[in-house]
Amino acid sequence: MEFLQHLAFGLGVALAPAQLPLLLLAWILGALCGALPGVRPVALMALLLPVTLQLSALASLVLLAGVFGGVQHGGLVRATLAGTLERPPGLLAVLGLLRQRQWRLALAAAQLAPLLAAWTGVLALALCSLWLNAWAQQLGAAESLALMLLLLVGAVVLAPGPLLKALPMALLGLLVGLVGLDTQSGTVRFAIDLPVLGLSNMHGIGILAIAIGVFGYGDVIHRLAHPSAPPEALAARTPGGAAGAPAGPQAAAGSRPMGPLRARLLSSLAWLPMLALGLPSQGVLALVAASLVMHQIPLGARMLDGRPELFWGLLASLLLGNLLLWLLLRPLLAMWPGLQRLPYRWSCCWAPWGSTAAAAARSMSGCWGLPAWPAMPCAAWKWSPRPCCWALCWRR
Amino acid sequence: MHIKNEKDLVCGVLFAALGIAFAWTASRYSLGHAERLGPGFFPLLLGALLTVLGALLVFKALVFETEDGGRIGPWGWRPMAAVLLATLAFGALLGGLPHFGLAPAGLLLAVPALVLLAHAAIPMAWQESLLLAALLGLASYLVFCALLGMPLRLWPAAWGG
Repeated sequence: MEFLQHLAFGLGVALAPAQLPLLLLAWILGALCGALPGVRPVALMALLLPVTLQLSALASLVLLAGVFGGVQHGGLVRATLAGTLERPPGLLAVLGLLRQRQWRLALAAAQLAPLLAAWTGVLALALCSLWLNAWAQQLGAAESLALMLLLLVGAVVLAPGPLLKALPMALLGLLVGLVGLDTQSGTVRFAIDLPVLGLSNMHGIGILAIAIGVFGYGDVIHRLAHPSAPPEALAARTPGGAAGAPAGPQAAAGSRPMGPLRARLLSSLAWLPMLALGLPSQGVLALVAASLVMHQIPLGARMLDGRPELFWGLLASLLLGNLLLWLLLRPLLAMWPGLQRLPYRWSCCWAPWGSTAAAAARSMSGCWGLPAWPAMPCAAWKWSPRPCCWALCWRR
Repeated sequence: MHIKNEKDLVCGVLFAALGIAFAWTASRYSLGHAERLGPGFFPLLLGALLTVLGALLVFKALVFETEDGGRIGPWGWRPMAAVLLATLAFGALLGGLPHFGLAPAGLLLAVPALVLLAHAAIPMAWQESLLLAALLGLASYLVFCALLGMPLRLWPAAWGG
């Protein structure tokens, strides 16, 4: 019962006028982006990151979670159309009902199955993270440090690509996090006489610049430079591949595509390590973590304690978003062929536009860091910037 | 010496160079002692580790055979220049450069400059650029000014208003 009360509280928060329009916008935008062949969700979310600075922590969480969830479902639509999923939703269950001659029930089940699967996933996420949180509450300082080290190692090991590149990237993230004022001794470190990096900037190099540069710009530049590059495997972006089981995204991506029901069921569970322990299991979630860090929200177990409205609001927004996309599935399928004709080269304008305008309004120093980073051609060379970004999240 | 993996070689050199730069700079700060570590200790340690890992990557690139030689392929200079220059120009026009005495010029000039730079670097039809400029301008106004209420200038202060 207490659980239902909490969920009702979350629904109230997510349906508040400050959050609802963002929720609708984010899920639709994400679904469109997921259905398009060229746009990568990580790039889209990195470029949305500065916008979240203007919003409250809850609203930005709802926005990013919506884009993430929408992308997963959009990918599902694309995969359905491309015929990579082996059977239409819920066929087996429906066949069973048909065999028992329960026609009306079969029809309802076929239509409701995707939604119910998604909702079951969200509820499983809620229960699992509550349980993990209760366990994480009992940890002391020593255990927390051990857990942090474990997570750092986890971020390196879970990153796609070879270990010998993920590890230096994590180190680089830690080093970049050291630029600026050292709060222990008051020394200004690595400022190379630039006021932007020195005393005038108390927070060092922002995670915003790194995230946009390596996730957003790198990807956009790479796509523009190689327009004929084959689109990444379809399975990589359907929930079965990209979200996968939290423990083994690579293993999930390598296997054959999952059925849509199972994919929907698992699509929310990608949040579990992030909500319970503060370990983002994918690049997209590392960006969510970055957004939370920018709002000075503690990651992991302390979030549920200190800011319960974030946790329950997020869960409720996942429930609502899934409902929305379930309602929108048919129009989305109809729009898909038209969407494919939008030229990707337009992105060379929208990328600088969105990120700079938002950063400029906050502080100019934030946006000068941006152009320095795409020089690291991460996207092109298949090494993941995730450990770097993630290490920055944890610097204090 | 024959290079067996170009990408790894460049990565390794880049990491090693960054590690050396960080470690060398850190060595000029106080290292402190075992009881109270100074501001230079942690970066020196990390920089040294980064250098070692970079060197390992270089070693791997020179010794271990790969199938395709890890070719880097052509650089996307044009898109890179377009995206970076467009960002710089847009930021400078929108927010101004107080260091150089450049006042903010506002959205009305910044958006066309952005599209113009992109047009120069990436093949686009003129009609397409115009359409894009109009869309971006409208979207900027709606999202940043109307929806988010950000304090952005629409046109230069010299034009009045």
